[in-house]
Amino acid sequence: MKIYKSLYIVGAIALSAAFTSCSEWLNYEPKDQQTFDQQFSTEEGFHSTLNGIYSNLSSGSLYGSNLSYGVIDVMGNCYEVPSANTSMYEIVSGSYTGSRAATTFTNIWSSAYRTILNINVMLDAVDKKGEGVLKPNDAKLIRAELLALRAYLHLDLTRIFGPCYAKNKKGLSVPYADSTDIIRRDRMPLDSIINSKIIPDLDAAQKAMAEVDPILTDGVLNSDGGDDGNWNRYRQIRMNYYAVTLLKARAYMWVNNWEKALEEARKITDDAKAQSTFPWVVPAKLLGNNSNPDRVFSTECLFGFYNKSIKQIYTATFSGTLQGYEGLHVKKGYMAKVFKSDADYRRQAQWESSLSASFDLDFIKYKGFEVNKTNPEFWGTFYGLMRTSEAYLIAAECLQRTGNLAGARGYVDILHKARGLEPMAETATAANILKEIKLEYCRDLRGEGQIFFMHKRNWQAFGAYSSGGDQDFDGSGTSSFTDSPSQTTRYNVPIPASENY
Amino acid sequence: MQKKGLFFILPLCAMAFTSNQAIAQNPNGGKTKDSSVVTSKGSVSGFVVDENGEPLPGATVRIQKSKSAIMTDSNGAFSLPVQGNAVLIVNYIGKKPAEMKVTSGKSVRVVMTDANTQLQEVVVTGIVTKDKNSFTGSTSSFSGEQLKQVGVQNPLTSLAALDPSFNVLVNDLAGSDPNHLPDINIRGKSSVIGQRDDIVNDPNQPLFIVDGFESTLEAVYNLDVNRIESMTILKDAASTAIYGSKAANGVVVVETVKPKVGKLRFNYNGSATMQRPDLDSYSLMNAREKLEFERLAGRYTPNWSEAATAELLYNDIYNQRLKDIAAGVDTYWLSAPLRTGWNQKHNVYVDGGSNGFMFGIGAGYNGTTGVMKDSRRDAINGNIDLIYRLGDLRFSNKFAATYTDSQDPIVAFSEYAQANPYYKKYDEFGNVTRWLQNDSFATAANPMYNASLNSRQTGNNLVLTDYFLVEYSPIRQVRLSGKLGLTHQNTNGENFRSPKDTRFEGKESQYKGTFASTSGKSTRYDASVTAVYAEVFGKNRVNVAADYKISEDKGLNQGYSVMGFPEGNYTYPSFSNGYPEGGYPTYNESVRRTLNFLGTVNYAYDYRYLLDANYALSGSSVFGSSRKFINTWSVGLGWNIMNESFFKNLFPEVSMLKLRGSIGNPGNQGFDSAMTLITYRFLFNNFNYFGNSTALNKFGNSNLRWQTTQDRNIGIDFNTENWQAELEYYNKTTDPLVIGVGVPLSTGLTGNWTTNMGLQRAQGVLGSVQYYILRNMKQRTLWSVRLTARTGDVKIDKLNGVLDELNKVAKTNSTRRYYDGADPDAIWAVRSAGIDPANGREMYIKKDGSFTYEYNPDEEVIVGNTRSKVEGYVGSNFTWQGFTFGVNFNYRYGGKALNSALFNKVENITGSQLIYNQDKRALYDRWQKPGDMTQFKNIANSLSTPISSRFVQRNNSLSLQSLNISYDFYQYARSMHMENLRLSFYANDLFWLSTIKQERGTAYPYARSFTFALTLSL
Repeated sequence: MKIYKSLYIVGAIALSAAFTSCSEWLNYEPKDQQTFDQQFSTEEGFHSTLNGIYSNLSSGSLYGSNLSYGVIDVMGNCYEVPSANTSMYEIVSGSYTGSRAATTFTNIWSSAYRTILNINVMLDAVDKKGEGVLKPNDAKLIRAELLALRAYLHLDLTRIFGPCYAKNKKGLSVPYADSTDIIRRDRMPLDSIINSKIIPDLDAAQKAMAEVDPILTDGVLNSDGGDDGNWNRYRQIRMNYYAVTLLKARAYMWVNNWEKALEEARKITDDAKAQSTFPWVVPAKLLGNNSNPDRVFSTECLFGFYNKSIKQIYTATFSGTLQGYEGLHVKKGYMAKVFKSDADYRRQAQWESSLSASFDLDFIKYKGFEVNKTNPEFWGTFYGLMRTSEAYLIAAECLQRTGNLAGARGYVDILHKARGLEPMAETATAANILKEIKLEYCRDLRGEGQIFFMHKRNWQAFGAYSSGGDQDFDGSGTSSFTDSPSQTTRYNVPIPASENY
Repeated sequence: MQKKGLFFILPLCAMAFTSNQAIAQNPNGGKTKDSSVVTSKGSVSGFVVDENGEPLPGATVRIQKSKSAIMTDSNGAFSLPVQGNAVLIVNYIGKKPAEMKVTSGKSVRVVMTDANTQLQEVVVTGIVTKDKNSFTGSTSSFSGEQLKQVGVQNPLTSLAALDPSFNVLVNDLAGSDPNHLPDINIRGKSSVIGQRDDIVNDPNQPLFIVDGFESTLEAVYNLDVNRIESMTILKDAASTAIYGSKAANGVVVVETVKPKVGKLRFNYNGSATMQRPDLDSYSLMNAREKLEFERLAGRYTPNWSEAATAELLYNDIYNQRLKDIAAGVDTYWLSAPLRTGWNQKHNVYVDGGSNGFMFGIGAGYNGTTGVMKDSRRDAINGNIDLIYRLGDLRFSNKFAATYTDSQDPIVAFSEYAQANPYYKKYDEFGNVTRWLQNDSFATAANPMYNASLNSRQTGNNLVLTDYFLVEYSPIRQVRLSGKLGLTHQNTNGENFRSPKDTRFEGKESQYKGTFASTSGKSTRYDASVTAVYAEVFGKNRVNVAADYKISEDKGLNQGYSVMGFPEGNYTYPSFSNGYPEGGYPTYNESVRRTLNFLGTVNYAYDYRYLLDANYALSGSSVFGSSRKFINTWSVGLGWNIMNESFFKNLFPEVSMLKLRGSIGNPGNQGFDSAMTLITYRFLFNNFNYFGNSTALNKFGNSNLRWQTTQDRNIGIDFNTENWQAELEYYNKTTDPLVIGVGVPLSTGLTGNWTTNMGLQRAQGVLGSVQYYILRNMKQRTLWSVRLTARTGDVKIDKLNGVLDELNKVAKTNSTRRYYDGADPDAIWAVRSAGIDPANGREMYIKKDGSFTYEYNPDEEVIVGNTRSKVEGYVGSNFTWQGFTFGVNFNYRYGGKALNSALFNKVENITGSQLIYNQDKRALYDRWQKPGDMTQFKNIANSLSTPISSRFVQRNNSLSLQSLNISYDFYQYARSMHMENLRLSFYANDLFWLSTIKQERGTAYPYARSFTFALTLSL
């Protein structure tokens, strides 16, 4: 009977549908999207996710601008910002809750935590899905890089939004997001976020990297790997053993732990392997070189990021043709105070006479050059965020703080020599040495986001309007307006309003 | 464990196919019908059929007082010798004996009804048909005829007028837009905060079932009322629990017309509707008033920062306008985009067939030109219904295709309402000007200009459905059925903006003109098997059913946009300059799979004590991988008091008095499947030495749980010959809710996080009563009045402050707050003491009762509720001979609303709003000088006004929803060889009275409509 037959067919369809494991059938993976499971089913998926985290890190809202040459250096009084309805003006004048400044800080905060969520999700993935997909050493290195990145972001958020250790060591800093749980996390006291969260993450990363980081055996490997691929190369644009070591030193400095900070800094300053991995820049490579000068001193950089259009930073921000609030410029005459000698390699390689009569010098560290097949230099697309000189300055400061002035001078002199400067006078007092260290930050680390933190750590005052101010650090021209913020205002950045609910 | 149980039961039910039409509905109310075909003199012949119109072979037919009887043949046909008039008695096992007066030489059709049903009423649930008399659930059922009596516009509006629980939400924006689907809920919302996403639906929308298969709001909205056999609303847990996880918002079950046995019949339904725009709610200023208002508001007074020469310039502009007005310029912009709208509908259905094979084929057209120019909706549809019987087997198939083509106006109605009356529409040559004004003083585009360009916004939609059903009844007690449904839908939309559109002013030509295309495809499969066992053991009636169902709904939406078009008639994407910078096509795929196992029991003892129990196990791909399944259950109890002998003796006239109650936990899965997933996306602009990079795209909540609702219901039904009344109390507690909550930024998320949080309790009372003032069937005189009413309240709780951020933001722009223990529909505002006559400033009342000029949002209190205390319909129907007269009013009482016209068009006319036309009250009712007693603040003060109780008004309304007059040519139809001929006239939305004076239909105006309809069957 035909009809019965079709009936059986209908029945069979229903039956087979019923028997197909219902539960399996309900597991639907959308194909127009990459789900967690799909993303971490291949090695490429892991690699592109980690690469995505570095990409996020180098976006303008984080180290691409705000936390390198932009907002954070404006907070460090590095630029003269004209009075206008701009975020930068609100920031330099300490109006952190002004609507524009608040938007900028909210952007930094939310981008950082968004990246941290990416890190935490990937840490879960390495633990749950990494086995069998990733080579064991690769998994170990990825995990270490993720922990280091998580600590890196939290440390900088702590240094911006938390208190100054000398003023309030138990004051509230920021929440430490160490899992993917979507929960409200309380702001942690400064000493405990550093000692019980950031340092342990960095310790774990440093320990793992000491075992598997290729930088320790093969160096930075800034060249194409050919058929073997690049995954284990270009260590300068990935978190590595030395970058983590400097981060640890930074973290210890933030809680005035001079002994520990010195210990970490010396793993860079007093280590032959480190010295050969990150040689001082060769003056011949920059001075008088117009085709591919290494203005960022890339060989000394422990960590940085890839930026295929470095040049745009100069044309969009530092060029003398940008007037008023369009760009960022230094108050006339200020750099002359910073650079005691025009022979200073940095003065020669990173500054030039301004294209505009309104300024005396334009900042050309990020002027870049055309990178192409005939001119493929690594530094043409490299933006540095951590460099060996900071380790020397940390070591010097730690010794200065603990009374070893000769030792401190020793480290400063090494840096001076590398920059074409004379050694410090043996008669230099403790105060002289400290001031020289601070000035070295302003000379060497401009555009790398460390100047504000150095000032905040020292509760530095600027300009004539604040008692104890030192105009040698004031590139902002605050004297031209009367609302120069006090240290309390300048160094206590409120967390975004939208965090509090 | 659940899974194992399911496997055990599945084979059992899968082996069985059952009937969902087992005890189907009887559209004729059990009365026999005379189809009056003349046959040979001296005998009577005819058919005996059941309620479904299916022939009954083997029924005994005899003449009263005569001993000789014959049996119907396999086609249910019979022929008996009869002289003159006689009474025919027909018997069939399990059916009530039927009696019928016959006349020799005529042919008759005898419909037998189920012997055990006292009122012969059934509840069509879409899965298992239940005997209304023994059912404890809360349902209401309406025939196609009843729906038509209210109106033929669309079945949803008709349903709303008939049942108090079915609520079509008022949309003050969309007005009478023919392309706008209404928002609907049954007995209020079960989800608090809108979770509409890009693909799926309103989470408060009920489930729609058409002919036993899941369908959509749009499909039902598009259905011609004439194709509807019946509509049933399932409201409480006992009736909806069979739909398990999809049931929390109630279910609307639609049965379409089925072919009937007999000779070929031809049915035609046609209607023509005229629509007139209704602008009564608008009271905009005329040219002179607007200019005066602008002067008083200081538009022509230079401010302190402007040069002294500005005053001269402003004076010039003012004087020029004054001159224009004196010359007669006073443009009434509102009428510019409007016209008389028309709608015509034609529907043809031809059916017939013998007992073995019945068919019905139909086609229809529904064309609307809306009251706004360029607004149009045309729908054509065709359908084929087939039924084939072979022994105990019955196959039926319904195929339908609907194609809709629509067009929307380019310029919203509100832009015409904003245009100033002192501008001219045309220049001196009679051409539409591009700009009304475009200089440093003001920029105003002429809305008529943008509307006159070749911009267009069009869409089309093709829906194909095929429903196949097979039924088998091996023994009388058991019915098995299998169903297969397939729905395919194709949607396309195009939106072209001419490069000459004023919005592109000042842009480079490569950015002028845009074109966007969207297309969607969806395919849905449904398959189910059902087994029903029904038996009577003495006074015990048992009906047990099991059902297993799977479905998959696959959707794909794609779209892209391009820009840069040359001027002229080049409106297609091939003429464009390219994609917008960084633009990429969208591609959204969604797959939603569900399976549902159901067991249901209905038990009645002596038709007095009733019990319903349902259990459903539902699985869905929508929710997190850890919680794919959900159990839903319900229990209902009922007591038919009228069947108790003590009651029967006391009140023999009461035909029904039933007390019933139910409890259950239907679920709600109207949520996006992506809410539980973690997904990644490529960052294409970031290539480095390591190649690709990817970042988190969506971070879903894999722990998300189903939203279930505890639904409790108590009801009482009462019927006598002249009275029909129903009263119900419901209590729906949804715990936990699925809501989007704000989370700290340090979680890494910036938007809302969808989670389970909080609960909502909605309770209410619904009632309807119908009274027959006159009821004389012999003279065909019938006069009834009807009243429906609904009241209720909603509370939310256990949010623990997670929505406080939302509340904080809302303080500046909304009156809605979400607090624990509070009503989410309450209106929050700072109380106002009115305008101080001395200075024209608003005086606020603090919480402690003191007065202040200072506005402080922390002093806000509840000043009313947007939900009406009571609302519903009042209607009356009068029939005399062939005439029927019906009228239906909608009323709302006790609610309040923020009058947005007062808030935005009387006050809050800030500098930038001054350039638009405003409400007359902004000129006449605002404070101007000390001593003025006004409701509105100083006319010269153009600062923004915060929301206060001053703008909250009582929102009581009465509207004439429908009025209809029809004439049934029942006396003449036969002489014209017709079965049925009727002419009707409807008027809809004729008037609207309200205590709140504000503009309705701001994006698209409302309309009054007048319809002529013709129904004809041959």
